[in-house]
Amino acid sequence: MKAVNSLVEDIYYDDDIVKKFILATLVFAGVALAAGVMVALQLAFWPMNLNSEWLSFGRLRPLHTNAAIFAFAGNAIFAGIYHSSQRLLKARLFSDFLSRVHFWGWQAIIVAAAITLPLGYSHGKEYAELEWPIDIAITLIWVVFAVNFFGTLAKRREKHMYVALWFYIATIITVALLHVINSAEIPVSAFKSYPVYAGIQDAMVQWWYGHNAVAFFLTTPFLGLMYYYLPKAANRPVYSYRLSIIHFWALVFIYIWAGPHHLLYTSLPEWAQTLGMVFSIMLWAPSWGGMINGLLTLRGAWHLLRTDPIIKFFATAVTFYGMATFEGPLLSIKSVSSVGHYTDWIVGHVHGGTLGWNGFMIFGMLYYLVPRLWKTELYSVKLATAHFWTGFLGTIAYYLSMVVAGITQGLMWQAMTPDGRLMYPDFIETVTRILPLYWVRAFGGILYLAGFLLMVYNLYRTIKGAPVSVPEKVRVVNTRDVTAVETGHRGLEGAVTVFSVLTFLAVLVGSVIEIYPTLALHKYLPPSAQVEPYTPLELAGRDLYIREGCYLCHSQQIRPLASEVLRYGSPSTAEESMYDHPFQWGSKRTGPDLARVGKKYPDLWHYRHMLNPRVVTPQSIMPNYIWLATNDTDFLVLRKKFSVLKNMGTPYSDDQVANADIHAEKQAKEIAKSLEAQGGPSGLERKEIVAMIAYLQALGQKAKETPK
Amino acid sequence: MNILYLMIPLSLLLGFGFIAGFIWSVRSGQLDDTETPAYRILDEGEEQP
Amino acid sequence: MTLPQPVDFSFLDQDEFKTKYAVDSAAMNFYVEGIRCEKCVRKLEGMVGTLAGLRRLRVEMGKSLVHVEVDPSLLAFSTVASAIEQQGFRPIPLAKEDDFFTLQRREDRSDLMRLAAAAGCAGNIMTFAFATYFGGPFALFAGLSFLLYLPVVTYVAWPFYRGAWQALRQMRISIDLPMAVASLLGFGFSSFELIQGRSDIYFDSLSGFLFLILLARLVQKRLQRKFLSASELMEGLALGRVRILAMVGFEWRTLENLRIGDSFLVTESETLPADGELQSPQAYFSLAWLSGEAKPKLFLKGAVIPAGARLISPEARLTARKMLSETGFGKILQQVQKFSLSDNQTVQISDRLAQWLLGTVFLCAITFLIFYWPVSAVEALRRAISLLIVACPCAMAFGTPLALAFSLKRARQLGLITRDAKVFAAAQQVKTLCFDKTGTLTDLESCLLDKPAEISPLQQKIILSLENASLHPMAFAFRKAFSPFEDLPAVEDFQELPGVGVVGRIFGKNYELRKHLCSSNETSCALFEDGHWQRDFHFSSTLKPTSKATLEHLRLRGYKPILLSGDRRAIATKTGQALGFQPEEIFAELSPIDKAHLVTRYAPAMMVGDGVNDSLAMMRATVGVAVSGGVEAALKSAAVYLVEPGIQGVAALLDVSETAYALIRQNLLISLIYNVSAGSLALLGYINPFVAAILMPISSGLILLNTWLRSRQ
Repeated sequence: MKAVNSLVEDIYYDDDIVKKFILATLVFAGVALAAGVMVALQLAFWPMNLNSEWLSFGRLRPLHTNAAIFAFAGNAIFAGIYHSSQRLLKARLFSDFLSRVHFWGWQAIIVAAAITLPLGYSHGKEYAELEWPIDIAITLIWVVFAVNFFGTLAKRREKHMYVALWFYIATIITVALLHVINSAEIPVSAFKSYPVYAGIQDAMVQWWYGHNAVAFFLTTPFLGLMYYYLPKAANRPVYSYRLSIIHFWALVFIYIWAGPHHLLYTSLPEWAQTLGMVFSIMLWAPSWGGMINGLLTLRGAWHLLRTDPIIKFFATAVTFYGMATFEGPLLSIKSVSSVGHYTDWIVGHVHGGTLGWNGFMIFGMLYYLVPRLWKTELYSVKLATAHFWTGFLGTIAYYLSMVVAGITQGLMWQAMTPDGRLMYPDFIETVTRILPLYWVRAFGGILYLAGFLLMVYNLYRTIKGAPVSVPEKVRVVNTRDVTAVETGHRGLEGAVTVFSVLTFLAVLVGSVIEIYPTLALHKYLPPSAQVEPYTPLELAGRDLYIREGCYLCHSQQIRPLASEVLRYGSPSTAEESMYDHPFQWGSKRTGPDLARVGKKYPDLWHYRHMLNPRVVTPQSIMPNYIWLATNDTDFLVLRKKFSVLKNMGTPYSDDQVANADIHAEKQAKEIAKSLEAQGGPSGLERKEIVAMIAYLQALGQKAKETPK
Repeated sequence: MNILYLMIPLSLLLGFGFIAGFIWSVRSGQLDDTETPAYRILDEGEEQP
Repeated sequence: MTLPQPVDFSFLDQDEFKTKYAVDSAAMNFYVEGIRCEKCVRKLEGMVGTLAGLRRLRVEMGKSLVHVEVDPSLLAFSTVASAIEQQGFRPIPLAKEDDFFTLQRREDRSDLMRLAAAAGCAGNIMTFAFATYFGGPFALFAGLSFLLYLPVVTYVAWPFYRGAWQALRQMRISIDLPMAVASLLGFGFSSFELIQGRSDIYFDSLSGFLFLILLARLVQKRLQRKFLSASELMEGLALGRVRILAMVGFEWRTLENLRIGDSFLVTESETLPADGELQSPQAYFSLAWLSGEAKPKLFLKGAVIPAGARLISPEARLTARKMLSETGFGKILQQVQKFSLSDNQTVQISDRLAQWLLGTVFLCAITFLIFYWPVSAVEALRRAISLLIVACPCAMAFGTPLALAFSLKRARQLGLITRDAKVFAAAQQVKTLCFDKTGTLTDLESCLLDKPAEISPLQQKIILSLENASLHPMAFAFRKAFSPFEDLPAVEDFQELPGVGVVGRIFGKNYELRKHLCSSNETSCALFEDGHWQRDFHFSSTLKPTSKATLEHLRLRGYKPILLSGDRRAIATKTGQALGFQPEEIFAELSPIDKAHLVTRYAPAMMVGDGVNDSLAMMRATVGVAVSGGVEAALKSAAVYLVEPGIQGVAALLDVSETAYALIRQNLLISLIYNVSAGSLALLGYINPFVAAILMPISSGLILLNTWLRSRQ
């Protein structure tokens, strides 16, 4: 219908896609939270690992993190972005077809993840575990999303781009870049690949990715959503729009350099560590600017805090954001990091942010969106309020227990007696001390899940009771250049520009990645240098280590701290991990560091320990890895693996590559024999356990000169 | 640390991309009015439950 | 008061209006106050969907602007304006040349982009610099710093180069010069060091420094711009049009078309755009702008009402007597619009101080270079650059103008209309405060004590005629007391003698109404016909409520108030003692010349009185403060005009002046200490350019902050 003015149009927003993403959010939130509760219980009570290959902690934890980030937060982000963008831009989404491809493609990725991760198909890099076919799928779907979003931007009717849209733009561009760069890998088989980076290079890229994933997947889109939904829910304008603009630009410029704060005291060069620390501290300012802006938006509407659960969720979320963005820079200070790194304090910090900031923002958004999209009232405000309190208590319980646990454990590790020895020489002592807190954390998680289930029920009843909805027309006024809309040239230009930029970026990145391996390590260190690469059997074992997610509980990086040197040995050097594709420095010590565990214990010890840790350490919380003794090692694939690694710069000879499997089998026989000799069972030479033992015994043993 | 040969150009590229974005927004008048947009998003009238 | 009539906007559709007001034939900007919430935005912007022919309507809340685009064949501007009014807003069309918002916008955008470039380059350079400080690979990061500094030394620093060059051409040193020199010299020096492979490079300091200074300047510009209070301006802008009598009746024309002698019409709540002689029998006007009295005053036919008066009656016809730009009111508006401090003495002194400082700095830098070069050329250059960076005449360049600007605004808020900022300096010198009595310390409103019934109608008419054009308190008292007459006789050879009375010829006879020193205790005046005394009139006057308290306060502050009165000694003494004056501080039976002499004798003194009647004394005083008498005349002789009735404005003026100068002195002191110490440290080698680049913006910022915080009290 033509209105009185050619600049006035009647359009329909696509809210169907928003509803789809909302439902997907609910489903996968359940999965993510349930998985989270499961792994929390597994830590508190190891039998919850159920002796199952597919449900052990090492396999489930990546499922939890990926589900939480990509399935829960991801779907919610898409729902919010698609809903708010259409209204901010006064335009229907660019392409219904692309919207649906985006939706189904993303869910397929999630399902693929849910299947592959328990099966052990993993990169061994945190929050980037998904193997290469899924990585490609993510890239493709992300491009679909980008085209859909930028296309909508190009056909917008509202001249001014509200600040939330800028946050979305930053998210889309940066996540694309991060993902592509960090996922640079060479496939070995259908579900196995090696990253082109190794050791310290990989560490740098991984945490550049890892921290910026937090920044640009868990922060910027949520800030955008906050700047839209909080004012809408409170029906008040943002406290200072100007400040929000400054907030955006300042954040975007600073965030990108904060990555190294995950690598303090590691063998990353000092200057990179300090740089990361300085920039992380600088990040505090724009983050708190955003928090203050958000909270002060409620000025004059504080009474809503009492009556409206949506405002409760939003206000609390913003507060947790402030907390987390204060704690983050705090943890980036080297001295603080020396206590907190590898402990549960980091876990607490993460969950304060994810449960408090991300989770609560999503819940608030869902309570806001569902009634409006289904054109009905929320089934029960009381239930929503109950959800809030349950979730809040759960978050607090989680956070406090983990901070206390982390600091306790960190301090215990560092504690020295007056005569210069470790006060707690047995790692297990530090574990049992904090075990009760693991129960508290699990309880917090259960509370959070319970609150979530209240919401599911509430929203279910809401949707069920809703009338059949008919899409409503919206009258929009075109406030952009008349010529642009009428001739359509600008629109086309816009799309072309978008495509060119994306293409250019892709090409640039692609070329760099192809060139890169040739630029690799031999410029940094001469090949004749100090480290031996892994033998085929050791490599096989390493890949098992990755598959089982051992890096999630064990680190391989000894820091140059006195207590650590006493406990584990001399500090790790950059060279030692130079051929590690991927690096396995680890970020958590639920169990002790393994950097120099090689030759510390006899083979049989490792055998017994892997099959039932409690045999050697009665109070251990590590799962039983009984299937390692029954699964067969894949020897044949070792040739391919060696070939790929050689192409990436590992100094293997052609003979080593061609006969990788033979050498592996030979070494396996030797180890099997030694196991038998030490009193263990016989006939293990083709079993995975032997490969694992080979790897573990090699840790710290690869230097040509033994480090002092 | 020759990973820097990758990371620095990348970060600079990203940085310049954002500067370009900023220049575009200034030139196209996005930053002329930093008060009204905050009000415009409210009370659209079609969001009543 | 009746409801305001809907405004007739038809003048907007006339060609001459469109030329003046429309941006192009299809767009126009309106000033619309009162848009505070999203409902208002929605109401206005939503009109696009409902008003045929309205292409676009865009609200800009911060500037109270509404931008309108129409299809001229479908919709007239007047219809849009009426529609806006129906929504509950009052739109005032903005003439193109008044649309400085557009000019501002261009400037703002350019500023922003430069700032962003500065931030982006400085930020990244600092990243790389930090990396090297912590031990990272030097060559790579230094090279990148160099590349990133190129846009800084050219694009970002450009305003500094331009400002410095323009000043040099006028043989002045501007504050831009040290920054321009530092930027270029630092670039050269660091590049040289880089090529030599040494690590003494300062791209990070320089770029960070330039960024911070740009930021400070932007902030200062915005702060100063806020003093162009939009509402004051818009009062003036609303005077762009007038209904002039033409063949077929009164027609809207632009103000330029009004000539002296033209008949024009104003309606209720409109402001007179010119001095006009009233043709209607009578009309009530508010002279709030002019006399501080908010209560409407009655004017009779023949009275000349000053521009700026606001009509309270439904309608009035007048004959134009003086064009707006010639009137006092018009002059005030010009002053407010073209606010500039350039002719202010204090600023000139500050500017000279700044020049002196900069000159000294350069001299020191050059001298040092010459003497230290043989010792170590590199070190000499480095210290010279540090000195150039660290030296900051910010107290003079930023602090003083800002302090004065704040004070002017504060003064205006307190109801003081000042001619310029010189008054603050003058007020600082004042020791004695000379107060006129009648109308200053006592109420403007006099009451005629004599009963009108006892005065013959003929005499009343004569008096009203004589006092028709007078704004003297007695004239008002007469007008209040006597009923209006339709047929006032014409007056010839009319003259108002300030401080004395009025004279004129009616019906062939010479009449005088003179202030009279009679024996009674009240103020009085006498009517003379052809030199023969007819009768006396007596007026009562009451003390203004705030007079006593203010006087006491001023005494406590150490000022010496004295009372100057034209009245008889007895009356003056009675009033004076009631206000706490000592007998020796009361001077009575003074003529205007006597008052002027006294003021001179007690110099440096402030004269507080009536702008017209005490004008002589005001001009002789160090500071003249007018409390009544009409702004136009008052500001001819007085430096300050008090809008609010009462003398508390005097205390306010003294306060504001004191604060301003205390602040300026404080800033100067801080600046002096800073420059001497930092400059010395720089020359001694304790401050390298990096530290200098941090210190200088901090000191600027501190001065700015200090000025801003103190001015808010």
